[in-house]
Amino acid sequence: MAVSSFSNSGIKSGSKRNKIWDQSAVENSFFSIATNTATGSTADVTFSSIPQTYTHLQLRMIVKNHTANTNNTRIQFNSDTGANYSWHELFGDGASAGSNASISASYMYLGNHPSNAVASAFAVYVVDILDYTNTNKFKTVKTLSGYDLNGSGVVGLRSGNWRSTSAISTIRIFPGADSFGQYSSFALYGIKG
Amino acid sequence: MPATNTYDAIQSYTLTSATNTVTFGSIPQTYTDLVLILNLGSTPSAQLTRLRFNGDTGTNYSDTKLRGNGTTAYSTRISNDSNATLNEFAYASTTLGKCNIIVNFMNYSNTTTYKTFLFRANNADLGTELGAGLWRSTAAISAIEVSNPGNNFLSGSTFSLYGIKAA
Repeated sequence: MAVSSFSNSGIKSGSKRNKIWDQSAVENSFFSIATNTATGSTADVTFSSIPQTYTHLQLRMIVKNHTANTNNTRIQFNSDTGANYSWHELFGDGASAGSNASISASYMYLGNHPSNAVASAFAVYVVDILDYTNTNKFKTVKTLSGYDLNGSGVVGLRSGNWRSTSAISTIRIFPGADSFGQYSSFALYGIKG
Repeated sequence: MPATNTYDAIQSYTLTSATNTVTFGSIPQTYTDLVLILNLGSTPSAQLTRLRFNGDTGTNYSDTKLRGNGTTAYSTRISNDSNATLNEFAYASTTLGKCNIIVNFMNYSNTTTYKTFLFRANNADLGTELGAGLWRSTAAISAIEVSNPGNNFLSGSTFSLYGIKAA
């Protein structure tokens, strides 16, 4: 691994030692696949024909609602609208911690997003979809998400399961009601193991 | 859909002496998200970790947190603060290797949106925290200041910044 020297100006006190990795000795493993950005009211976002060449997928999203209502973000795989999803969540709303679950749902719940009342504020999500091409196991999803509006907000951890051994080739992301607001962005990445 | 390799190491610091503040400056604006990974100790006593962006000392920071201490899970909120506090509970200890923090800054270079970031802080002896933070500014994040209020980060503490670029 090659190391180069650069300015110590970022360290404000004490002895300074710094290094920068030149990326030359490590195999590439995190790839951007596709990105969708809502230009106005958007009913849903679909990633289709997902390459089957990675081990895991990661969705990184910023989301808000198109209307003056808070809402929630949901996900389905391979157009499956059957009761084949389950999920659990642990969340905090700034006052108390809570937990919810659903066992036989028609979607997987990823978290809440804010209304358009604060135009510049969005919820953020990091969604990990593990072993998505493996046809020997159900598909497990881990989500960190949350938003803060300086006086309100919610943050949570969620786990989900899609009871199918099919490889995931399509991902649909949609709100519980209304539509996604302008500038909501959905980025899909592939991770090689 | 052609795939583009991303997740680049931007800058990394390992302290060789006790230091109060580490700043990542002149952050490239060519990525979509940033990931900050911290492995911290504190001296002479355990202490929380704070962030500021672009030198903004105004009361433009807030967050909602969820945390557990092994006995109780609870949620708190900070509003109108002059810093983002990453670990009100999972402090940086006086021993290295106990406190780690990961922060995801989403769409940090977007000049239309406020900056929302997700963070997880863990201390094996104290507990774990998850937070959603907000910096009420539409400015692109060009500098991130990591500080230890009143104390210093231990020698050996590491600070690593990565960039992720969407297609």
